[in-house]
Amino acid sequence: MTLLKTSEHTDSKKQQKRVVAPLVNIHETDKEVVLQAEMPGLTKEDIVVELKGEELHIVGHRNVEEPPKGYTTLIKERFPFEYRRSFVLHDVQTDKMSARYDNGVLTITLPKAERLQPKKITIS
Amino acid sequence: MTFTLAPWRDTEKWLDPFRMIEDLQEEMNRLFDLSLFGPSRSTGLFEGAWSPAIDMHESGENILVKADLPGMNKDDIEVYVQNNTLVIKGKKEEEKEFSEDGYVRKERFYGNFHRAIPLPAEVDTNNVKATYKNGVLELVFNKKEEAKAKQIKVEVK
Repeated sequence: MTLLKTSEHTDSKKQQKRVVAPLVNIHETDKEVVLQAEMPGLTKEDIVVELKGEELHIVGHRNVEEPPKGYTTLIKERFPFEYRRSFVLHDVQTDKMSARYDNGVLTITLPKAERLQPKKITIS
Repeated sequence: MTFTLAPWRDTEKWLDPFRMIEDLQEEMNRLFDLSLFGPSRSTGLFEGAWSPAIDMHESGENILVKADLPGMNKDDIEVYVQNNTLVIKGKKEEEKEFSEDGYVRKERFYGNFHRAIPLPAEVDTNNVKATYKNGVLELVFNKKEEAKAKQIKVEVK
Protein backbone atom coordinates (compact mmCIF):
# COMPACT_ATOMS: atom_id res chain seq x y z
CA MET A 1 0.00 0.00 0.00
CA THR A 2 1.32 3.44 -0.82
CA LEU A 3 0.52 6.57 1.08
CA LEU A 4 1.11 9.38 -1.37
CA LYS A 5 1.14 13.03 -0.47
CA THR A 6 1.55 14.35 -4.00
CA SER A 7 -0.46 14.13 -7.16
CA GLU A 8 2.13 11.98 -8.89
CA HIS A 9 -0.03 8.94 -9.10
CA THR A 10 -1.14 7.97 -12.57
CA ASP A 11 -2.63 4.68 -13.64
CA SER A 12 -2.41 4.59 -17.39
CA LYS A 13 -0.80 1.17 -17.53
CA LYS A 14 -3.91 -0.75 -16.52
CA GLN A 15 -6.68 -1.60 -18.94
CA GLN A 16 -9.97 0.24 -18.67
CA LYS A 17 -12.05 -1.20 -15.86
CA ARG A 18 -15.46 -0.38 -14.58
CA VAL A 19 -15.20 2.30 -11.92
CA VAL A 20 -17.09 1.39 -8.79
CA ALA A 21 -17.50 3.22 -5.51
CA PRO A 22 -16.60 0.93 -2.61
CA LEU A 23 -19.07 0.67 0.27
CA VAL A 24 -17.84 2.86 3.07
CA ASN A 25 -18.35 3.18 6.80
CA ILE A 26 -17.14 6.25 8.62
CA HIS A 27 -16.95 6.13 12.37
CA GLU A 28 -16.07 9.06 14.56
CA THR A 29 -14.95 9.23 18.17
CA ASP A 30 -13.54 12.10 20.25
CA LYS A 31 -10.04 11.22 19.19
CA GLU A 32 -10.20 9.92 15.65
CA VAL A 33 -12.11 9.28 12.48
CA VAL A 34 -11.99 5.75 11.07
CA LEU A 35 -12.92 5.13 7.47
CA GLN A 36 -13.49 1.59 6.21
CA ALA A 37 -13.91 0.69 2.56
CA GLU A 38 -14.90 -2.77 1.35
CA MET A 39 -12.69 -3.82 -1.53
CA PRO A 40 -12.45 -7.61 -1.61
CA GLY A 41 -9.90 -9.49 -3.67
CA LEU A 42 -7.11 -6.95 -3.75
CA THR A 43 -3.60 -7.04 -2.36
CA LYS A 44 -1.93 -4.17 -0.50
CA GLU A 45 -0.02 -3.35 -3.67
CA ASP A 46 -3.25 -2.76 -5.61
CA ILE A 47 -4.35 0.09 -3.32
CA VAL A 48 -3.36 3.73 -3.46
CA VAL A 49 -4.41 6.13 -0.73
CA GLU A 50 -3.60 9.63 -1.82
CA LEU A 51 -3.84 12.96 -0.11
CA LYS A 52 -4.16 16.12 -2.21
CA GLY A 53 -4.52 19.05 0.10
CA GLU A 54 -7.74 18.37 1.94
CA GLU A 55 -8.92 15.68 -0.46
CA LEU A 56 -8.45 12.04 0.35
CA HIS A 57 -8.57 9.75 -2.67
CA ILE A 58 -8.86 5.99 -2.49
CA VAL A 59 -8.07 3.94 -5.57
CA GLY A 60 -8.01 0.16 -5.71
CA HIS A 61 -7.35 -2.02 -8.72
CA ARG A 62 -9.18 -5.27 -8.50
CA ASN A 63 -8.13 -8.03 -10.85
CA VAL A 64 -10.19 -11.15 -11.20
CA GLU A 65 -7.96 -14.02 -12.20
CA GLU A 66 -8.96 -16.10 -15.15
CA PRO A 67 -9.41 -19.76 -14.24
CA PRO A 68 -6.49 -22.06 -15.04
CA LYS A 69 -6.37 -23.75 -18.42
CA GLY A 70 -8.85 -26.53 -18.91
CA TYR A 71 -11.57 -24.91 -16.81
CA THR A 72 -14.93 -23.76 -18.09
CA THR A 73 -16.80 -20.99 -16.32
CA LEU A 74 -20.24 -21.88 -14.99
CA ILE A 75 -21.03 -18.83 -12.86
CA LYS A 76 -19.48 -15.40 -13.27
CA GLU A 77 -20.50 -12.67 -10.84
CA ARG A 78 -17.13 -11.30 -9.82
CA PHE A 79 -15.59 -8.67 -12.08
CA PRO A 80 -12.43 -6.62 -12.28
CA PHE A 81 -13.08 -3.14 -10.92
CA GLU A 82 -11.41 0.10 -10.39
CA TYR A 83 -12.52 1.15 -6.94
CA ARG A 84 -12.54 4.89 -6.57
CA ARG A 85 -13.83 7.23 -3.93
CA SER A 86 -12.83 10.63 -2.63
CA PHE A 87 -13.51 12.55 0.56
CA VAL A 88 -12.81 15.98 1.94
CA LEU A 89 -11.01 16.07 5.24
CA HIS A 90 -11.36 18.77 7.83
CA ASP A 91 -9.65 19.08 11.17
CA VAL A 92 -7.68 15.88 11.06
CA GLN A 93 -3.96 15.34 11.43
CA THR A 94 -3.17 14.04 7.99
CA ASP A 95 0.50 13.51 8.89
CA LYS A 96 -0.61 10.95 11.46
CA MET A 97 -2.89 9.11 9.08
CA SER A 98 -2.49 5.35 8.95
CA ALA A 99 -3.95 2.69 6.67
CA ARG A 100 -4.20 -1.07 6.66
CA TYR A 101 -5.87 -3.72 4.52
CA ASP A 102 -7.30 -6.80 6.22
CA ASN A 103 -9.71 -9.41 4.87
CA GLY A 104 -10.75 -7.23 1.95
CA VAL A 105 -11.41 -4.10 3.99
CA LEU A 106 -9.27 -0.98 3.81
CA THR A 107 -9.18 0.87 7.13
CA ILE A 108 -7.87 4.43 7.31
CA THR A 109 -7.42 6.00 10.74
CA LEU A 110 -7.24 9.77 10.99
CA PRO A 111 -6.49 11.32 14.40
CA LYS A 112 -8.49 14.50 14.98
CA ALA A 113 -6.75 17.85 15.26
CA GLU A 114 -5.23 18.55 18.67
CA ARG A 115 -7.59 21.45 19.30
CA LEU A 116 -10.61 19.17 18.90
CA GLN A 117 -9.38 16.51 21.25
CA PRO A 118 -11.11 16.54 24.61
CA LYS A 119 -8.97 17.88 27.39
CA LYS A 120 -9.56 17.19 31.02
CA ILE A 121 -9.14 20.22 33.17
CA THR A 122 -8.20 19.55 36.72
CA ILE A 123 -9.76 21.80 39.30
CA SER A 124 -7.27 23.14 41.72
CA MET B 1 -21.09 15.54 16.10
CA THR B 2 -18.98 17.22 13.47
CA PHE B 3 -18.82 15.88 9.96
CA THR B 4 -15.14 15.88 9.36
CA LEU B 5 -15.46 13.65 6.32
CA ALA B 6 -17.85 14.50 3.52
CA PRO B 7 -18.05 13.11 -0.03
CA TRP B 8 -15.82 15.11 -2.28
CA ARG B 9 -17.50 17.75 -4.40
CA ASP B 10 -16.16 20.45 -6.65
CA THR B 11 -17.68 23.61 -5.20
CA GLU B 12 -17.42 25.64 -8.40
CA LYS B 13 -19.99 23.37 -10.03
CA TRP B 14 -22.70 24.40 -7.64
CA LEU B 15 -23.95 27.49 -9.41
CA ASP B 16 -24.17 25.96 -12.86
CA PRO B 17 -27.52 24.19 -13.40
CA PHE B 18 -26.19 22.05 -16.23
CA ARG B 19 -23.30 20.84 -14.13
CA MET B 20 -25.75 20.09 -11.35
CA ILE B 21 -27.73 17.85 -13.69
CA GLU B 22 -24.48 16.21 -14.70
CA ASP B 23 -23.67 15.68 -11.04
CA LEU B 24 -27.04 14.11 -10.48
CA GLN B 25 -26.50 11.78 -13.40
CA GLU B 26 -23.10 10.79 -12.04
CA GLU B 27 -24.62 10.10 -8.67
CA MET B 28 -27.34 7.97 -10.27
CA ASN B 29 -24.69 6.02 -12.15
CA ARG B 30 -22.79 5.50 -8.95
CA LEU B 31 -25.88 4.16 -7.20
CA PHE B 32 -26.59 1.96 -10.17
CA ASP B 33 -23.08 0.58 -10.04
CA LEU B 34 -23.44 -0.12 -6.35
CA SER B 35 -26.61 -2.08 -6.86
CA LEU B 36 -25.42 -3.95 -9.94
CA PHE B 37 -21.92 -4.82 -8.94
CA GLY B 38 -21.75 -4.41 -5.23
CA PRO B 39 -22.93 -7.11 -2.88
CA SER B 40 -26.47 -7.87 -3.89
CA ARG B 41 -29.27 -7.01 -1.56
CA SER B 42 -31.92 -9.66 -1.55
CA THR B 43 -35.23 -9.52 0.21
CA GLY B 44 -35.98 -13.25 0.21
CA LEU B 45 -37.45 -14.47 3.46
CA PHE B 46 -34.90 -17.22 3.96
CA GLU B 47 -31.99 -15.41 2.47
CA GLY B 48 -29.72 -13.14 4.40
CA ALA B 49 -29.66 -9.38 4.11
CA TRP B 50 -26.81 -9.63 1.65
CA SER B 51 -25.33 -12.32 -0.50
CA PRO B 52 -21.81 -12.71 -1.82
CA ALA B 53 -20.83 -12.59 -5.49
CA ILE B 54 -19.60 -15.97 -6.71
CA ASP B 55 -17.54 -17.41 -9.56
CA MET B 56 -17.63 -21.12 -10.39
CA HIS B 57 -15.30 -22.90 -12.78
CA GLU B 58 -15.22 -26.55 -13.72
CA SER B 59 -12.58 -28.83 -15.18
CA GLY B 60 -12.60 -32.57 -15.80
CA GLU B 61 -11.28 -33.22 -12.29
CA ASN B 62 -12.11 -30.18 -10.14
CA ILE B 63 -14.64 -27.53 -9.33
CA LEU B 64 -13.28 -24.14 -8.33
CA VAL B 65 -15.46 -21.65 -6.42
CA LYS B 66 -14.61 -18.11 -5.35
CA ALA B 67 -16.82 -15.87 -3.23
CA ASP B 68 -16.38 -12.22 -2.24
CA LEU B 69 -16.80 -12.00 1.51
CA PRO B 70 -15.11 -8.82 2.70
CA GLY B 71 -14.54 -8.17 6.39
CA MET B 72 -15.37 -11.60 7.76
CA ASN B 73 -13.75 -13.66 10.49
CA LYS B 74 -12.87 -16.94 8.88
CA ASP B 75 -14.52 -18.84 11.75
CA ASP B 76 -17.84 -17.16 10.91
CA ILE B 77 -17.96 -18.70 7.45
CA GLU B 78 -19.68 -22.06 7.15
CA VAL B 79 -19.30 -24.21 4.07
CA TYR B 80 -20.96 -27.54 3.46
CA VAL B 81 -22.25 -29.77 0.68
CA GLN B 82 -25.67 -31.34 0.98
CA ASN B 83 -27.47 -33.24 -1.77
CA ASN B 84 -24.80 -32.08 -4.15
CA THR B 85 -25.59 -28.47 -3.37
CA LEU B 86 -22.88 -26.19 -2.08
CA VAL B 87 -24.00 -23.99 0.81
CA ILE B 88 -21.98 -20.99 1.93
CA LYS B 89 -23.44 -19.23 4.92
CA GLY B 90 -22.41 -17.18 7.88
CA LYS B 91 -22.80 -13.99 9.77
CA LYS B 92 -20.86 -10.82 9.38
CA GLU B 93 -20.42 -9.26 12.78
CA GLU B 94 -20.10 -5.54 13.30
CA GLU B 95 -16.85 -4.22 14.67
CA LYS B 96 -17.16 -4.33 18.42
CA GLU B 97 -14.88 -1.38 18.99
CA PHE B 98 -17.30 0.97 17.20
CA SER B 99 -20.30 2.36 19.04
CA GLU B 100 -23.53 2.68 17.07
CA ASP B 101 -23.88 6.44 17.65
CA GLY B 102 -20.40 7.13 16.33
CA TYR B 103 -21.28 6.30 12.73
CA VAL B 104 -21.28 9.24 10.35
CA ARG B 105 -21.88 6.98 7.38
CA LYS B 106 -22.74 3.31 7.26
CA GLU B 107 -23.03 1.57 3.91
CA ARG B 108 -21.53 -1.84 4.60
CA PHE B 109 -23.82 -4.83 5.05
CA TYR B 110 -23.84 -6.87 8.22
CA GLY B 111 -25.73 -9.89 9.44
CA ASN B 112 -26.55 -13.25 7.98
CA PHE B 113 -25.93 -14.39 4.47
CA HIS B 114 -26.80 -17.65 2.81
CA ARG B 115 -26.06 -18.90 -0.63
CA ALA B 116 -26.84 -22.32 -2.07
CA ILE B 117 -25.47 -23.35 -5.45
CA PRO B 118 -26.02 -26.71 -7.14
CA LEU B 119 -22.73 -28.37 -8.03
CA PRO B 120 -22.33 -29.63 -11.60
CA ALA B 121 -20.96 -33.02 -10.44
CA GLU B 122 -20.64 -35.16 -7.35
CA VAL B 123 -17.68 -34.13 -5.24
CA ASP B 124 -15.48 -35.77 -2.64
CA THR B 125 -16.60 -33.91 0.49
CA ASN B 126 -13.74 -35.28 2.59
CA ASN B 127 -11.17 -33.62 0.45
CA VAL B 128 -11.99 -29.92 -0.03
CA LYS B 129 -9.41 -27.17 -0.02
CA ALA B 130 -10.77 -23.95 1.48
CA THR B 131 -8.86 -20.70 1.95
CA TYR B 132 -9.92 -17.20 2.95
CA LYS B 133 -7.61 -14.43 1.84
CA ASN B 134 -8.07 -10.71 1.20
CA GLY B 135 -11.80 -11.08 1.70
CA VAL B 136 -12.20 -13.84 -0.89
CA LEU B 137 -13.19 -17.41 -0.04
CA GLU B 138 -11.70 -19.97 -2.40
CA LEU B 139 -12.87 -23.57 -2.55
CA VAL B 140 -11.40 -26.39 -4.59
CA PHE B 141 -13.45 -29.58 -4.86
CA ASN B 142 -12.31 -32.87 -6.33
CA LYS B 143 -14.90 -34.60 -8.42
CA LYS B 144 -15.77 -38.14 -7.42
CA GLU B 145 -14.13 -40.78 -9.53
CA GLU B 146 -17.41 -41.84 -11.15
CA ALA B 147 -18.34 -38.22 -11.87
CA LYS B 148 -15.14 -37.39 -13.73
CA ALA B 149 -15.61 -36.67 -17.37
CA LYS B 150 -15.61 -39.87 -19.33
CA GLN B 151 -15.28 -39.98 -23.02
CA ILE B 152 -18.05 -42.01 -24.40
CA LYS B 153 -17.80 -43.02 -27.93
CA VAL B 154 -21.07 -42.91 -29.73
CA GLU B 155 -21.18 -44.78 -32.89
CA VAL B 156 -23.23 -43.15 -35.53
CA LYS B 157 -24.79 -45.61 -37.85
